Amino acid sequence: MIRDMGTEAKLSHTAAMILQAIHAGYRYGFSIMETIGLPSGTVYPAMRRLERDTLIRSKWERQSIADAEQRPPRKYYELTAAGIASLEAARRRYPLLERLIPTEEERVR
Amino acid sequence: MTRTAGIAFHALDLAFLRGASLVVPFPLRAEWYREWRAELWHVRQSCLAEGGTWSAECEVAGFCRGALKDAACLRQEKGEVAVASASMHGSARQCLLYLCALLILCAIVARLLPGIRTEEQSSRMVLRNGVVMIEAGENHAASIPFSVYRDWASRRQRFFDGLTYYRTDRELAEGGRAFTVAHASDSLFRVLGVDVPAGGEPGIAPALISDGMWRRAFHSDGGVMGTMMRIGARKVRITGIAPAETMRLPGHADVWILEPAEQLARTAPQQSGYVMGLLSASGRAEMDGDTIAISAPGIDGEDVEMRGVTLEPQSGGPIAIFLFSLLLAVLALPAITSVFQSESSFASHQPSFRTRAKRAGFLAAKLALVAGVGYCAGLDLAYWNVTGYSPNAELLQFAAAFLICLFGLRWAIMDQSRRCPVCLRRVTHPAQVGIASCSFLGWNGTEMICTGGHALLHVPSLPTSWFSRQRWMYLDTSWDFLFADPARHS
Repeated sequence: MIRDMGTEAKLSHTAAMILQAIHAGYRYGFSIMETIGLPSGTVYPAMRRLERDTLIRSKWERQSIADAEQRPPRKYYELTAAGIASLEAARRRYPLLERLIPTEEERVR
Repeated sequence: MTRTAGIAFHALDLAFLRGASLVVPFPLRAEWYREWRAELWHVRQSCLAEGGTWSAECEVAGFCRGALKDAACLRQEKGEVAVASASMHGSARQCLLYLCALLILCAIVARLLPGIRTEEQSSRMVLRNGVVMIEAGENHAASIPFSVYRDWASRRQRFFDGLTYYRTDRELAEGGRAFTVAHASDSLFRVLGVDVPAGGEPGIAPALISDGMWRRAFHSDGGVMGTMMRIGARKVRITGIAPAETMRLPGHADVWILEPAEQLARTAPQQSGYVMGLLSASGRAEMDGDTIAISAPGIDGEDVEMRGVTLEPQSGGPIAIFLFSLLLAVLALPAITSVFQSESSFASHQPSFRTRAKRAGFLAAKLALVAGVGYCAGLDLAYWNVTGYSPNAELLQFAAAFLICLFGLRWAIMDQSRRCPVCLRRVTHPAQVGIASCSFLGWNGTEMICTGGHALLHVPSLPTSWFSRQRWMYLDTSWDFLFADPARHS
């Protein structure tokens, strides 16, 4: 994945799916992996690269929230402004992207 | 699948993640592991929701395999092999790791050397209570001829319930090898209170070989029992391995041949040997410490004064030798290094109690590991080529353990003085400041810095009244921009 300053980012299909999954509300690693159906050895390295290129950023959730739900804290990912722009470009490039990954609300319905 | 199996699989998964985390550059490692561990929890919840099955565990394991690829990608992308090694290089963990590896290596070698096993076994053995060596001359020397012993044995004894005799000779065996052979009266093991297999047949004497000889000459072959062996001009049958108690007896025989009194009287009646006696109740009452004064007829029939001495361990075994050498090394340590050369100027930023406790614990761990290495390596050197008890080996063990402990402890203390008081890394990048011959009144010496950016170390090249010892200077937050390593802030 190469991203030039000031030009439109060209994302791989995997990266585009990850951005779309995060945008759709799947915000931590396993949920993203489960949604896009790719193995962990592909998804996590791709997320590292997206974070390195500042298309996404990560944040640990508060321990108190995790304690309340009796699970370990999650590392949540969210799109940056550059990530949103790249996702828009990727949607134009891959028109079926939105239909491949429904939002969490759509899935619940 | 049982609950225990599920726990075992989970432990394996965690161990795999921990192993994969070692591939990740050090600054990112902790967070990387934390994230994968959290993700693993979700994966297990999802895959094992319908009960733990083999295929579900395989699925979880497949998820964990991805961690290795992720770790490799991170390492490749960050290109921080140098940073990783720099963070490990000189760290307290690395130091302890090397010392542990050295200790384990020395301990494994020590377990494999037969001489050490024999010596430890021998030092644990204690001769039967009440057995004394009767001596006419110097300590533990062969001093009583068989004819005198026979005369004593035929008389009624006041202090003894039984007497036994043996003498040692160097004799050639098959293959031209020389062994120390003990010709003992057949009451030897009864007096020692040891059960040995009865053997012997007409014309062939039973022989017991020492543990050392069994290992050395027969390569620990279990099939050696019952075989015939020619020693000198006679044939003997090996009936067993001599019990460990015999290792303590003077003469350190390789082969013990039990012979009837007539045979011993025929071969060398005037040759001096060793006589041991089992004290009777009245004999024990006469004991003065570990000796008893005895008056008995000598060669010419006149009564001579002798003494009976208990055969206590002479050295106390390898542990006692090591402890003595360690004590001497500790006493000698101040002569070769300054024990109190720690920082003197760290008042502006006193490390927390936890940090100081960690530092003290690190020093204690180093000293303990060095002592352990001293013990094992000393034994390894002493018994490298010795298969049984040897006074020379004990001497060598003492010398080796003393030297290793002395210089090892010195190294541990010197190393401690070159470690950052905060993160325990070794200070690096030495810079020479000033030249003593040019600026005698100005400061001159060497400056070193902690790679974590915690402190500067000033070591004067010429100790003066105003700067006699090394000093630490704490680096405040204005130095942060120079140090990218997050460990700086830990």
